[in-house]
Amino acid sequence: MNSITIALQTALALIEAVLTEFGVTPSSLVDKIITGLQQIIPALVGEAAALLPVAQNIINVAKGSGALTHEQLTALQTLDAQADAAFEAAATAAGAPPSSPANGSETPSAPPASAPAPTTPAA
Amino acid sequence: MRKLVLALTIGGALSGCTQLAAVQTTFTTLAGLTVSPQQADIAASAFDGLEQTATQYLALPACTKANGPICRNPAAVPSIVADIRTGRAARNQLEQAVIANGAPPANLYNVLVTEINALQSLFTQYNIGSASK
Repeated sequence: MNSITIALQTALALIEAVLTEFGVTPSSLVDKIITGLQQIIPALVGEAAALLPVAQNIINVAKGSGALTHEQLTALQTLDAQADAAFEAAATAAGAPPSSPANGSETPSAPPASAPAPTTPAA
Repeated sequence: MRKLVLALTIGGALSGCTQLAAVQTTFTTLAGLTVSPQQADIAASAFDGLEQTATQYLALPACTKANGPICRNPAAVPSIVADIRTGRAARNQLEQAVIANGAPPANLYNVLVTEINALQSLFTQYNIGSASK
């Protein structure tokens, strides 16, 4: 593990600790966290992809941390898009066809590929 | 220095348990025209976790007769990719509805829940995430 990865891991751990310390996160703190993630995530994609799940977890905690402004929600959704891009890169590398409206990526009403009963409990 | 070591330990533990850790929450579809923003957020977060697990799984080398148990079964890929893409489209529209008017449609929520359950079934079928539980 190189020093950049260690630094990024430390930063993410501290952000996550701050977020989980407060039940409802003050809006100003959410702004700072979003700004921090906007700076950290591009580095994660390039240097430490294994830490992306930690960043995603922080995004999800931030989303559920209280009354967010539309701007904050939009910013968090933009950060989500980077996780989507990482999935698409992995899917393409694994031999899946590129994402397009024709293969269901833009049709949420389409039936699922593996189609279990909607109310089937998780395993 | 002690604090730094503690932070690194926490970070390592967090990253270890989030990698390939499948979400194990039961979701059911809902009747009605809309769901609450909180319900939409919970389902979206569960989907995001599954997407991360799927990303890690797809990044594994394809299984061959020669390599070990930590590999990607090529047969699992098409279903996982299709379910993630359909679920992502539903999640994005659901989140847009929360931002726009705070009343996400139940039909989008139900599509997302169906995809979550489908992915959880696939992960069970292909033993995805079981190594780190």
